[in-house]
Amino acid sequence: MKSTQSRVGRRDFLKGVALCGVASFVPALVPASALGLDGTVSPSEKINLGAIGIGSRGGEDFRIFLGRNDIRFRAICDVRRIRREFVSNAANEKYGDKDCATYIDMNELLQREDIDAVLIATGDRWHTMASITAAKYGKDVYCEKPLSLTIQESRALAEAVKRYGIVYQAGTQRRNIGNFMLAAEIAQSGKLGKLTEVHANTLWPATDQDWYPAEPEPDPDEVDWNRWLGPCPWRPYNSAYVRGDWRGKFDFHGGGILEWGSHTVDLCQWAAQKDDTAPVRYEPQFNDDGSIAGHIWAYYADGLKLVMRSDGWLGLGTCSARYVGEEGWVETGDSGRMAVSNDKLRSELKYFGMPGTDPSTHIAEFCECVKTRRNPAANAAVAAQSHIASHCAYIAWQLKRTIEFDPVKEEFNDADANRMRTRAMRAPYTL
Amino acid sequence: MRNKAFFALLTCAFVALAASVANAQSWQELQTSTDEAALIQAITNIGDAPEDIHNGNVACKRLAVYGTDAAIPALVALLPNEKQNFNARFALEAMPSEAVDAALLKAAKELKGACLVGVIDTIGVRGKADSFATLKEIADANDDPAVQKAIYAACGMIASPEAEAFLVEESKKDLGAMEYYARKALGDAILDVADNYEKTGQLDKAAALDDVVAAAAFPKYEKEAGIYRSLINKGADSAAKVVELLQGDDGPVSDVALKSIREFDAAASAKVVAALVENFDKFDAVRKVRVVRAFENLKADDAKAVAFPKLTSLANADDVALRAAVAKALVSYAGSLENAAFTRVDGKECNDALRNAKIALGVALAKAKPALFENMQASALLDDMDETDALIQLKIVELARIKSAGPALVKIANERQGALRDAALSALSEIVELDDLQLLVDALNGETDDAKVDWILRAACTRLPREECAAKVADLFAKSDLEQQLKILPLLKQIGGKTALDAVAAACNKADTIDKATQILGEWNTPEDAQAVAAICLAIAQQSNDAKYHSRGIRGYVRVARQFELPLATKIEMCKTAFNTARRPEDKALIFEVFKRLNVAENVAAALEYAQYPEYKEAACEAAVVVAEKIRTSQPDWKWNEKSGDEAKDASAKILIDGMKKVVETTDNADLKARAQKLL
Repeated sequence: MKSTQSRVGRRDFLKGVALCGVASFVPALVPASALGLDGTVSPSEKINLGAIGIGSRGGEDFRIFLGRNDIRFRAICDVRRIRREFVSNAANEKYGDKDCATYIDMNELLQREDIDAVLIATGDRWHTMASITAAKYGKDVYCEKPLSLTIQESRALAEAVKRYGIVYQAGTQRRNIGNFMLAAEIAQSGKLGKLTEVHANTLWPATDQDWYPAEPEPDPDEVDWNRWLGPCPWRPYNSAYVRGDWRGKFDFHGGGILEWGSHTVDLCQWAAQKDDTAPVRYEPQFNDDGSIAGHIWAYYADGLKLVMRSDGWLGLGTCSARYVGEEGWVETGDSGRMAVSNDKLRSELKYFGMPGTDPSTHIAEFCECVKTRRNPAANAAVAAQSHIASHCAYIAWQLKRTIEFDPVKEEFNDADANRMRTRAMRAPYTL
Repeated sequence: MRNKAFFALLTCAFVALAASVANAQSWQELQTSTDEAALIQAITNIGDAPEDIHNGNVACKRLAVYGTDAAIPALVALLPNEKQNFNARFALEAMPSEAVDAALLKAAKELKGACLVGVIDTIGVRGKADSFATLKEIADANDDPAVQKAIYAACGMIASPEAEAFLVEESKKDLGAMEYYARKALGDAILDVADNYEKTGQLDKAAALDDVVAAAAFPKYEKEAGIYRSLINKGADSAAKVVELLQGDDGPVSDVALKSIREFDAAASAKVVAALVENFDKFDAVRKVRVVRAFENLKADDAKAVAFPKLTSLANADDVALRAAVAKALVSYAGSLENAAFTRVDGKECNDALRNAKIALGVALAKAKPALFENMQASALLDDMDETDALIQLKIVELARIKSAGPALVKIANERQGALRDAALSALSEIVELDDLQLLVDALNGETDDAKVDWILRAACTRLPREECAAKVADLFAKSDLEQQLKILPLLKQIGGKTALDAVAAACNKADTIDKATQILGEWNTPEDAQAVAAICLAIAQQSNDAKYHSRGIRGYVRVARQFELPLATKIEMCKTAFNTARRPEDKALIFEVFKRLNVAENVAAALEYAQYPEYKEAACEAAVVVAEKIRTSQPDWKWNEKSGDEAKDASAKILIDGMKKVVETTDNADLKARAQKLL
């Protein structure tokens, strides 16, 4: 599948730059409406939005969507009563009415013809299923990362988005944040010389199979535990999961490579203009004592090396990325700061005051694309590829051996690895 | 007889006991097992109590990767159990053997309800054409909508000619009488088959199926998808249809047509764009804007060549929204434009969209045709334009870094106030060279907004050569009064490097700047300065008689060990130095936070060296346990008590075992003791 956003467009980059300074001082040239915060919006440009699953990160997205003048927030679906009430109260307070509807079943929200788009910020286990379901109802989707837990889910999502012609933006906001855009542009411009390595900041890969002790299952109106589990295997209820302590559990989470790789491997693929492919070889690294390390080295078909590692960074913030060429390197992270190998490259830099965790410009781009039907920067096709690369790396790490991958057929040269491309879903859920 | 019965009973009990002993392997043991026999044993005769489900879940995940045909009977036996059905499917779905397909089909004939639905899903995912006959058999004998829906979905994934024929035949039924979700699933399944044709380049067959969905009484979303895919699969033949849909009243269908414009292949794209250009005047105002926006980022050069004259002809349209859309669309055609006239705008009518579009277009033009922007004069910016337009031009200068505008910017910054001055300063920060840094500083003279000064200086210093820039700023620092010096110190941190650090170190030695300078030192973040920052912090800690700065020095020193990448031995040595230098117990205790972050066995021993001091005994034990726990969690299959054959690994294991034994002997904290024992 060919991507449509392989290069950092000059226009896109400058758009990001123009918008980045608003958090701090910048001359009042960039109107707040560029971020959808002010100005007038014609009714035909209003986006009617619903949300599915709003936790802590989703709350941040929701706050930004709600603050936009081109958004009318209509409905919330959440399996937790407390979150349904929190979100609907916030929306009703904003609009001075009581029109924000609440749902436990996402199908009921998605069937509403007056809703154009949905924000999906459930736990990771639901991301693909909810996104594909939304696509089948013709809704545009802004979905928090990661978009998938398996290679198969990644591909299914990209195909559903293509089939239904929806606008899909993965919540990998760094594609719309100035310092990351500039770093990618430097890498793509040839100013580093021929790219030899791209480095992605990832976390310790492991997940576990542990269960928390059973607690009495609450009334489904309070927490609908069966729906919370969704396509995942059954296990007894424990409130810790619902409070967010599901990370690191294999059934609900894709591990530490995907946790940050969904951002940083994605950044590397983008900078290297590999948005339509994935590395073909994955080598887990080992410590001197023979134990497995958290690092994975991967190689693209043309020899470019992708290093996924948790340490050795310059301290430029979380989710760092580094692009190395024959004539220099650039590194950046969530602090907004950038480091380069020499003063010539330094002359390319800009000062950015926006943290890499801020999704406002990414949401702004999504809203723009909903109106114009343009493919956004983190569209499903490109995000699927970077997620597939992260999944491949985790499979290699679990098997503790080097594996090779055909990005076109999406097959490994390793029978065991091939069996790990998919996870069955609990009935009646199916992709 | 009685004895025989008793012995038979005893034998059964023994067998059951043996089975339960054999099944006693916990999920913890199963999770790293590759022993198929043990995994099969673990799922044999298990029930559906939570612990059984947990064990079954873990064992089936392992069988998904390592299971052979030998595992099939035990897995199939779990399928009728609603709680274990999923676990069995998790394994079976991943196993490549054809024997699995046969077993699933056989099982499907005997299952009902959710268990049957799950198995049908798995049959669908496996996608074997031979499966269709059995699915059809089940469909004919079953009127459960959930089963019907699952069979449609499975047929869509199988996508064999028989499955396709079945789905198309189903679409001819009275769809209105069909349950909503089943109807939806049927439409999706036909589109699945169409996708399959698309992937193999059989676009006519794909379009035919898309048309089936578009025409039948499916839910609107499936119909819209059918229309959308049909447009794209028919390529250039869709041109008239796209024009027609864009004139229709159905907004979502019109959106479908819009979305398709960018998706056509090169040959089709040019023809569709030509049709849109020819019929442009037939569209209403809103759709005109949207069509123009669809001309942004057209992929094919032929299509762009058709769109370009139309866009330029609309550049002075009366409708401001249309003009903004044109300006934005022209960004991707900037190389073809001959002048910068498009960036001019009358401030009275300028809305935000138009303003942003003009900026984007201006920047693109400046990059594509720099000659158009040479020798920009302040008079041109100020006298010939209203303020809105001048602000747009200044933003273009800033974003495109048009260096020739420097003198004009200085003049505007010095002579104007408010937004124009801010815009000029901001632009100047992006183009000023090292030798002219003083110009920027002078222009900022008298500015009372600290945030503004900070932003502008940072913007300039971020891109200027580091050491030379630091030298200039250090020089500026030396010449400034105290108030200015305190503002310049954070800028030195932003620049980083040796020269900047030297300047801050010097400020640490002066009474009126030590407070701010030591604070800055504690936030220093250029990694290459780590060792130098540590040395300065240590010197402050050792030499300062003021408890506040002594403590700040220790904290800064320990921070370097905690946060920066340094060799393990260096970090351990730094902890020792910090411990020996610190005067307050709470400062000494900071080193344990360093130990907790170092995820290696040697560090356990290093932390426990401090267990000899009664007041730090518990902190040292805690750090050791935290590190050991991290190692265990990260490498759950590393058995410390078993020889691995690798000397280094075995040595690490010994350190960990000895360390945890020492914790058990030393700590008075029951929880820590239990955690250490658990690790042993």
